[in-house]
Amino acid sequence: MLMREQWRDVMISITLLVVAGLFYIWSLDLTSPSDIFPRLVIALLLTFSISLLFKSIFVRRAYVKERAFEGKEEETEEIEGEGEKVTIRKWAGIIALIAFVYLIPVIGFYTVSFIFMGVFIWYLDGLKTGIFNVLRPLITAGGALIFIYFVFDDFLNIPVPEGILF
Amino acid sequence: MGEDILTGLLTSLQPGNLIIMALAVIGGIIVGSLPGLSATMGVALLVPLTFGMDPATGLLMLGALYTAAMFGGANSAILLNTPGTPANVATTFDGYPMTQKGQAIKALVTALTASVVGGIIGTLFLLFLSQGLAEFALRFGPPENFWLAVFGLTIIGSLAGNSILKGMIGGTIGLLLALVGIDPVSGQERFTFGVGDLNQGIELIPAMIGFFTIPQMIHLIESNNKYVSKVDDKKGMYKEAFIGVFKRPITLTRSSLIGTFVGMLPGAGGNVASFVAYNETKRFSKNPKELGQGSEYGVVTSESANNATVSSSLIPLLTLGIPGSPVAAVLLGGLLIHGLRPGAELFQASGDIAYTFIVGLIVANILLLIIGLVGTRFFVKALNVPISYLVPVITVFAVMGSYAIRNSFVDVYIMLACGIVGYFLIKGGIHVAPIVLGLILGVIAEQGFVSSVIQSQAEGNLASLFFTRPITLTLIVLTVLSIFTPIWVARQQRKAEGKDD
Repeated sequence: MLMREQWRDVMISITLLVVAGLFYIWSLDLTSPSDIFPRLVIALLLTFSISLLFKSIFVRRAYVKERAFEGKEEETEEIEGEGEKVTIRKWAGIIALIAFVYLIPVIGFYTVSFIFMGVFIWYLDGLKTGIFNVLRPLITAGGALIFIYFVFDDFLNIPVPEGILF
Repeated sequence: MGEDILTGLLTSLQPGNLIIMALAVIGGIIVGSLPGLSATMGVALLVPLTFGMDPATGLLMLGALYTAAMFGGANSAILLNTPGTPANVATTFDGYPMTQKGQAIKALVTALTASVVGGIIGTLFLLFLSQGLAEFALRFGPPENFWLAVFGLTIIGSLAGNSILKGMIGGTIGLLLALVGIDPVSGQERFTFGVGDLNQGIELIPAMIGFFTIPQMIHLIESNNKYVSKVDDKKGMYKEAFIGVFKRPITLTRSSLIGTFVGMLPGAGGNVASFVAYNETKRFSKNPKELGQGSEYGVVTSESANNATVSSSLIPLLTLGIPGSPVAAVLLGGLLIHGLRPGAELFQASGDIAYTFIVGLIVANILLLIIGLVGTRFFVKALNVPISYLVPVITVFAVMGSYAIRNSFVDVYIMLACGIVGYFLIKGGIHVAPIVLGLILGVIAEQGFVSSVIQSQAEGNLASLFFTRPITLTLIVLTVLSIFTPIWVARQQRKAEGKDD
């Protein structure tokens, strides 16, 4: 029976093998000399991925050592509060980030950034109620955007991404 | 020459010039600290401002900004594990662990002092040995560049963490990313999937922001702590850190010399220099395991090497008129608009201005030390900001910084993709530093490799091109040493431990 860390590396190596395979297929259209270096790199990735797959299935000893090493780290993280709440915060962060980037070209940088920063700060701060607890994130968001406006838009003349609003 | 140097010193010490340089240093630190804003961008923005200035004053301002921007990136690298520029990536390896130990002030002052020393050493080479070095740099052809990149890739062993195999996988992923875009030799599109913005390849800075900033932000959310870290601000910390740098004279000198050497090679820059210097410091260290855990040696080596490249990257420009880096190309524009033609003629026809510019770089470094020491008190306040505020604000800056590189939203998507993939790769034990290293060196390696193959088709002998030229041979020996020395040292240590047992 494989250990959790072994399964993890099996998944990584299979993913990398698929990536290497896809890049190989895409490289078939390339002509010389454009194909020399890509083929070399793809061959390296294949070799390392197969080595990792081999290691993850057959070299259990390495993972026993890794678990013994990581066991100490997990202990500290447990004290710091690793748990369901943290997992929810993490996924909320990742989803908020993806939504933020997706919405910028649709709505506009300043509007989306203001909402993202205001709401996300409030969320990470523990969704505290009270006028100051709601106002503080909004003031921070406004301040950061004023700074961005002066540095990027006004001084550096870099146009910010625009959408239907601003 | 002596008279020109003295004139240069007196000109750069004029109160008006000192004020302008001080403002440029402050601007440079800010530009360097913000991921996405580069020294090239800062210098390019200031070039039009120099139109109405005396040429010497204008050049002093540009030089001061360039110097300070290279250091500026260390602030965010140390405090938030988010390098401001690619040249500061290696600073995160030990700088951020120092912050986590409460030694943020010590790390910042160490980085500042090492940057200044590296900058001054690089400038001394520019001042006294530039002609000979420029001619040597020109002997670097495609095979030499290929072997330099291969030598650089051996650093993966130092960055891999617990698993060398996963480090090599990371490096290969970086090399794979470097393949995207139009092939530099034949002009054929590769892995662009019809996205026009990918023709220029994956931009290093958005990828770097993604790989470092986003996983760090997610990690901070996961940590459930209120602040990034506490700051240990005990009395005498500044003095201790400042003197501490000079207690590591060999590391400081070696790293500065590596920075000077790598910086003058066209195509290589502060990022390559700091990685190479870091690897050498780890190799020669009595306790290599300390590096990466918050060792001052790591900060000293990375920062002295990258700041040494500031002056040395100007060697081919000032002596031969060949800009070897993007900033040098912008500075070339700055020189030309003032009627100064770089090359041997520059030192004869406008020696006073040329030497003012060079000596001014030393003055700029001293100003950087003073302003940086004062500024450290303010920079470190970033750690007093709660994580709940820091994470969303930095994320917005990361998005804007990625977009600012080419005004392209594709770069923001690249940043996001690298960030999320990077987070899961770290969870899977694959560090992001080898990926960034592969991305940096992949372009240099491929250009060198393919150009050599084409050159060999004309000359008829690939082996002699790759293996018999003096510089390639030296680089091959260094590469072999770099691979086998750690193995040999580890074996010796195991033997010694066995005897002790």
